[in-house]
Amino acid sequence: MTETDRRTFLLQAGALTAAALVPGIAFAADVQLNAEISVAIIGMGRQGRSIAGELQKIKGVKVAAICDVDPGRLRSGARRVSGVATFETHSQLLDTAKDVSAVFIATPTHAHRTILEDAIAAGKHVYCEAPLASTVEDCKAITAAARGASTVCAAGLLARSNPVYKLARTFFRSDSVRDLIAMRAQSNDKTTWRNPSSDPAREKALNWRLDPALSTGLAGELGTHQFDVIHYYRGVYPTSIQGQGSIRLHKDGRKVYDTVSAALTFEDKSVLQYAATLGNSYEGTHEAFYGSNAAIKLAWTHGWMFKEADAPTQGWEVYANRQQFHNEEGITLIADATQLASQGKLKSGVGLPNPPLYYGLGDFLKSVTENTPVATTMQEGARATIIGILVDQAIRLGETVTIDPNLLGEA
Amino acid sequence: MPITLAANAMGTRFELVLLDDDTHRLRSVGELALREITDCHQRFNLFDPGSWLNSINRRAGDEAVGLDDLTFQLLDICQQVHRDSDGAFDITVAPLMYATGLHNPSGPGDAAQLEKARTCIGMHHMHLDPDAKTIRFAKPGMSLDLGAVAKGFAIDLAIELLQEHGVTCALLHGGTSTAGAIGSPPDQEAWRVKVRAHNATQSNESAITVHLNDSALSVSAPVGRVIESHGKTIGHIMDPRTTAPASCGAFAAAVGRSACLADAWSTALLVLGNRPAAMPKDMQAILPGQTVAEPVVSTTNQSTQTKPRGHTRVTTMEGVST
Repeated sequence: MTETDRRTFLLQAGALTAAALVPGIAFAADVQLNAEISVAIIGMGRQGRSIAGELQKIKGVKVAAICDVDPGRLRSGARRVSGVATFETHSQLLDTAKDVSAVFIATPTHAHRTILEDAIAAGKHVYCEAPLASTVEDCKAITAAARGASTVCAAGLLARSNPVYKLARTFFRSDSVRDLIAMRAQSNDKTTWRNPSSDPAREKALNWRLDPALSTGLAGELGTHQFDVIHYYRGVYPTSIQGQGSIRLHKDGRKVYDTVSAALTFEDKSVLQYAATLGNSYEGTHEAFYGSNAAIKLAWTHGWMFKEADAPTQGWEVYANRQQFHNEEGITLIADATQLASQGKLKSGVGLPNPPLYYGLGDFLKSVTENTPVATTMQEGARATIIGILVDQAIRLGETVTIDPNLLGEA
Repeated sequence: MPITLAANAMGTRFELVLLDDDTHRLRSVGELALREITDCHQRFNLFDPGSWLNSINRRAGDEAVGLDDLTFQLLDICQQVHRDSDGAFDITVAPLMYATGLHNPSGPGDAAQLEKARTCIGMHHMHLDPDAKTIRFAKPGMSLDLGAVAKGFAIDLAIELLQEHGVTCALLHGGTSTAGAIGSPPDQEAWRVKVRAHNATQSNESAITVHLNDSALSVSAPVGRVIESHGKTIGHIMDPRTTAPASCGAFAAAVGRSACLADAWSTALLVLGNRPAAMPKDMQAILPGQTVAEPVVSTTNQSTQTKPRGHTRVTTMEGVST
């Protein structure tokens, strides 16, 4: 195919794809289950509580048991879940809560492997928060356990369940973005990342993310989710990583960097510029793909397209809602734009009505109750986790790390 | 050494002032407390279709919805204040707020929509089952609006968490209309909070000073959002007993051990215009023209100026080095 032929084909394919998909997707519908299900949450820190909160909104889900080794967190969690049994350890929960058919693992990353193996051995369906592990060895063990499981196993990476991300991916893969120029991902927040405890003896255990021996740093703990977005969109992994980091704000004796950056290079020489900090929250967490026709910016609950002046106009754009960002005009990426516009509800369709977590949990529960394919497999979760571990390694060493494709293949 | 943390939630700014020697630990505890507040914002936000409150609103007309302990506790407090205020406080006004256009960006509905909204107002149509810990609406179209209590409830939870982590000296406020205190500043007996009417000048002469020590204050006033509806100007305070805009005084304030109760009662007092007999004895009502007969403790140099709810200016902390 000549370059002219290819361009003509892409133009047609892109226009058709966008026009066909916009009215066709049931965008961000509420989760509806065909059967009731009893579940448990292991780990009632911030993420465990968020999981409980989202499950509470899904009809047919009964959170029957929760577990945390920290009494304060367990007590706090119990107040937020109706009529729930509480356990101090996951072993007690798995031994006692026989009516539970699925477990959500939201413990510190380094504790995932043992709990996941025990849960699979107990015959439970497993949803494990990402990153899946803090070492490559644990990643391999987790995928091996999942492969041998007769139950549903899913990784808690949310891009593949996120309606905004799914929709934007169709634009990314059409002519709307066209030739990929560059990629960027950032995760900015202003927080100490430190967890206090009412029991000083528990402080060290609770602050595992600040323990260099256990933590995979900002790149591992947060970046993993974004590296998975890049793979979900492109289908390829980086081949080398250059990184650096420092402590810019939280000079409290910590060794884990509070500000990091890395360049992840792919085989086609395209580069993902990654940056994360705990010292400033400007622009929060988002990913951006820069193409020759447009850039797409994804911020988990919202997505926008910023078109180049010479990019072709597509029919659906007439209905699109727009937001101004200084000199740039972002077209908000929503499905059902035609229908929403006819109802005068275009603005109410902007952004996700529920947090991304809600859709990730919903997909997992549908896999369990209706045998639908898992949105994010443990293998995909493990590979994204390994990328996160390697980016953290490059940042710690301040050197270039080359990625052995076999390492990802083994996961 | 004091540290200050803040977060945006519930359409306003929450601020925490914490005092302790271990500032690193204090900051992390403060962040955890702010998380309680943002958690409440996410759960009880009427304007977020994905909130837990809206999940209840969508389902409770069709089925009994199971409630967690915290949500049940919050709704139970609301029911208690509704009863003790003879219906002047009511969290079922959401359909009316929407129909009048106060909560609807598209503006007011027509007369039929307004009339329909009026039929589903009343907390006696909200059935809380204390044994099953469930909620059920008796009337179709009902929905709850926790805007009058969510800030106070969030501050109560934040205070509880701070105390669990050993904090003995703190002041928290949400949008300067609801404040809660733990202990008092060093060498002083209380946090001093000044309440000024909306139309008062900056002079402190017109201010009422409230002293907080392990207690909370909430102030309500009929200022803030107004809309034009069917040729009339409507303020954001509705009298749920008449389903019409309330004839309010300049402000009303309540002081008590719980910020949530103070929040609910300041709204009820604003609608009532006087202190009802059933208001808890351990709570203080402050209405225009009254002097505060019995301050909680004696005067100090620390003070917070609190403007009535609806006024958007940030609290000033006098004498607190942050």
